[in-house]
Amino acid sequence: MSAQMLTFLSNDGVEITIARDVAERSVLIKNMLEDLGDTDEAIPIPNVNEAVLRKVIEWCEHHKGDPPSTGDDDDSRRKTTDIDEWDQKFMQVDQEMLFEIILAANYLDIKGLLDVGCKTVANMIKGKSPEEIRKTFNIQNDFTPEEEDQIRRENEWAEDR
Amino acid sequence: MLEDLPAEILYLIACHLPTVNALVHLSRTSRRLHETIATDNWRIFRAFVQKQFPGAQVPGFWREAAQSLTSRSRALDKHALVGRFVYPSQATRVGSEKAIRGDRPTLGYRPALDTYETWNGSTWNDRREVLAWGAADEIFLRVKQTGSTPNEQWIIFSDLDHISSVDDICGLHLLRPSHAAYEEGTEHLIFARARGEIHRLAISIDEPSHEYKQVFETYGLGVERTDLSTGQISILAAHLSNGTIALYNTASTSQRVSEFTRLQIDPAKKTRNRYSKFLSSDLLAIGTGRIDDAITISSVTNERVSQDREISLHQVDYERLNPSAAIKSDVNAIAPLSATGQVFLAGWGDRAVRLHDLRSHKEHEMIYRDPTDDNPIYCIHPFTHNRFIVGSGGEALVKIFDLRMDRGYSYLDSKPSIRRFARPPQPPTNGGTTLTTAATTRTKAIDKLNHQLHHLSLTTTRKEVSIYLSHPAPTTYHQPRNIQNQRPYRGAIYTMSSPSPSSPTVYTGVADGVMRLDFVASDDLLHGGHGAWYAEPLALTDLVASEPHHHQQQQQQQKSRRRRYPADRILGLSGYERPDDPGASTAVVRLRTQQPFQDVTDEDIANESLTGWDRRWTKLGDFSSWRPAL
Repeated sequence: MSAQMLTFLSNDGVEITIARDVAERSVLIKNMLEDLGDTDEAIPIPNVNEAVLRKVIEWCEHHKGDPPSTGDDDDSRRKTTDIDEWDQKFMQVDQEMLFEIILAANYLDIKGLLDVGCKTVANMIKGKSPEEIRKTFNIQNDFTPEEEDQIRRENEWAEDR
Repeated sequence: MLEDLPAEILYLIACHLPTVNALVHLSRTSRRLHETIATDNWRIFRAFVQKQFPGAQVPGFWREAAQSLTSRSRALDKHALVGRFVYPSQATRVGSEKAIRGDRPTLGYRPALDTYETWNGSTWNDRREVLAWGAADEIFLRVKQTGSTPNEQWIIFSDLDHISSVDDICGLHLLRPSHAAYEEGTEHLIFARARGEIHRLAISIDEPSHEYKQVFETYGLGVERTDLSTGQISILAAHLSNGTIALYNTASTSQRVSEFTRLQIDPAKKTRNRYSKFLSSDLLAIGTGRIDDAITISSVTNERVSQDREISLHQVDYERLNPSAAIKSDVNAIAPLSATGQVFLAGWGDRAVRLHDLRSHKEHEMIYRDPTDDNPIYCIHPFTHNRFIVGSGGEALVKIFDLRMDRGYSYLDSKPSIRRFARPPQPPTNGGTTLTTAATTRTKAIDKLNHQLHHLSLTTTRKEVSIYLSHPAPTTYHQPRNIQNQRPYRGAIYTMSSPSPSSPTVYTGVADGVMRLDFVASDDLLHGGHGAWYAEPLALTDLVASEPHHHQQQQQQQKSRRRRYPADRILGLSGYERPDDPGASTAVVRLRTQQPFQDVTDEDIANESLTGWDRRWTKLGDFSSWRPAL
C-alpha cells in the first residue's frame, strides 16, 4: 500500500499535497488527524503562507526518518548551539523568512524545527555587543541614556563570562 | 522582525544562548527585549543554569547562581585560585584538654574530612557551612554563617587523656539535613578511630557540649577507613583491619548498632579489599586489589548485598610501569560523577584515572593521564560539571583535569571567536552503528580544521594545570617569624571535599592540616562593584577593603601581616601547565608562582588577557627558587 497522501491549503490559497508520515512531524496535524479520521478534503493551515509552508515541508521531508525527540536530555549533552550541516544550509534564508519559519514551527508544533530556528537566531546573537545585535536585527535603541547606564552597571558582572 | 516575535519565542531563543554575557547583551538592546529577558527577576537564568550546569544543586536564586557558577568556571579557566590553611584563631574545647601523646609518630596525621553547606536566607550568600576534620585524636569543627548575619564558631573535641597513633581519626562524616538523626543547632558526626572505635557523636553548637549517641560494633578489629552513603537510608561502610568491610544501617535507633552484613574475602582470592566508595545511596564500589575483578560494584538494598559488575584489570588498557614486576592492582580512589552513580572515575595503579560507565558494555570510556607525575593517585574530587581534581601521593601535587565529555558552559564562548565548523551528525554511540569511511574522513578533516582554528583563535592554548601545595601545615595560629627555616611540604594530598556541588571551595587534607583552595578570579575580587559579593562568603573581605589605590593603608596592612603571620594568610602557590601530549615528556614545563595581591602590576593585568593566567601568576625568573618563598 502506497503512503497515504494529504492535501493542505496555505493561507494564500495554494494546495500542497504531501505524504501523511511527513505531515505528522507536526504534532498539531498529527493530533488533528487523530481527531478527524481520514479525510480527502484539503486541510487549511490558516497561519502559514505557501512559501513558508513549502520550506517547512522541506524540513519535515528531510527529517522524517529522525527518531522521535526524547526530550531535553539528549540536547544538553551536545553543545547548545551546535546545528547539523544540512539544517545550517536550510536556515540560510533572509531574516523575515527565518522568523516566519520559527512562528510556523511553533504554530504547527514541530519541536525539532523550532529548536533549529531558535538556535540559528541564538547563534546570530552570541558574541556580539548590544550595538552589534541592534545592527544585526535592526533594533531601535529606545532606552534613555540613564536607563542604559543603569542596566549596564547592574549587569557588569556578566561581562566576559 | 526579532522584536516582533512573541515573548515565549524570544524566551526560547534566549534559552539557547550559551553565556550570561549574550543574555545580558540581548537585554540591553531595547526596552521590549529587556522586558522579555529580565522578566520575573531574570527567570531566564533558571533555564540557563539548568541547561549549562547540569547537576548543579542550587536554591532558587537563579541570577546569583548564574553569577556564581559562571564566575567559578571562568576562574578555573584562568587557573585563578586562592590557597590558605584553615586554622582557628580561637576555639572552644569540648571533652577534655589536650591529651598527652605516648608515641612519636613518624608522619603527620591524615585528616579525615567532611563539609556541607545549606542555604538559610533570602540571598545566595546566606549560607551555613559546616566543616569538620579529624586532626589526629581530635576533631576540629567549624560552623560558619555568611550573608546578612555573619558568624563563625570553632569547636575542638577530644576526650582522651593519653593518646597514640591508634587513636587517630581515620573516618569522619557529618550527617546532612536529610539524615534521620539530623538536629538543628547540633552537628552529628560519625567518626572512627584506627583502634576500632566507631561512634556517632552529637556536638551542640550554641552552648558547646558533646554527647555520644551510638556505637557501631567492630568486635575488636581495627578500622582503616569509612564511607557513608547519602540519601534516606544512609549506610556506613567500615573497612576493617582484616580486609573485610562491615556495613551498618545508620538510621538504626539502637545505641549499639551491629553490622547488617560483612563483605568477606573469598579464601581462594587471597588479597584483601583495599578501598571502597559509595557511588550512590545503594551502589558500593570496591577496589579489591585483585586482577580479574579489580573493581566490583554491588547494590545494597534492604540490607542485602548483590554483586552487579566486575571490572577486570585486563580490560582497561592497563599500562605496566615496570614489565618485570608483578602487576599490582591498586584502585585507591573512586568518585561518582552522577547522582545515580552509574558514571564514575577510578584512580588505577598505573597512575591513570579512568572513567567507567556502568550503562556501557565497555570496561572504561576514557583515560586521563598526567605524564609529569609518577606518584600514585590518592584521591579524586569531581569539581564543577566538567572537571575533576586529583590529589597526588607525593610532591604535594593537586592536579586539575578537564572531563571534556560534555563541553557544557565555557566562558570563552562569550568572546567573539572564529567560527567553528559543524561536524556531520554522529550516529548514536550505543547503537553499534559505525560511520562510513567517507563520513569518518570528513569528520576528521573538520575536527582537524576546528583544532587548528581553536589554536589560532586563542593566544593561549587551554591546558590544565597542576598546583603544588608545598607549604607546611601550621600548628599554631600565630606563626613564628623564622618560618623560612621550615621545610616545604612534599607529601600526599589525602582528601578533598567541597561544601556543595556549586561551591568554589575545595578543602584539601594534607599531612597535619587542611588547606582551602578557593577558585575565584582576582579581577572579580578587586574590580567592579561586586567584589564584596565574591569575597564575603570566602572570608576575603580584608582584601577587597584594601583596593589598590589605598596604597599606604595597604602597605601598613602588609607590614602588620608580616609581623603576625596568621596561619590562615593567603599563600603563594606554584604551578605549571601540563603538556597535553602524553608522549611529550621532554616538553618544557614552565613553572609559575603566585604573587601577593598587592604586588600585581598593570603589566600583570595586561598579561592576564594575553596568557589567560590570572594576574597573580608570574613566570618564574631564571635561577630563582620555585618552592614557596614563605
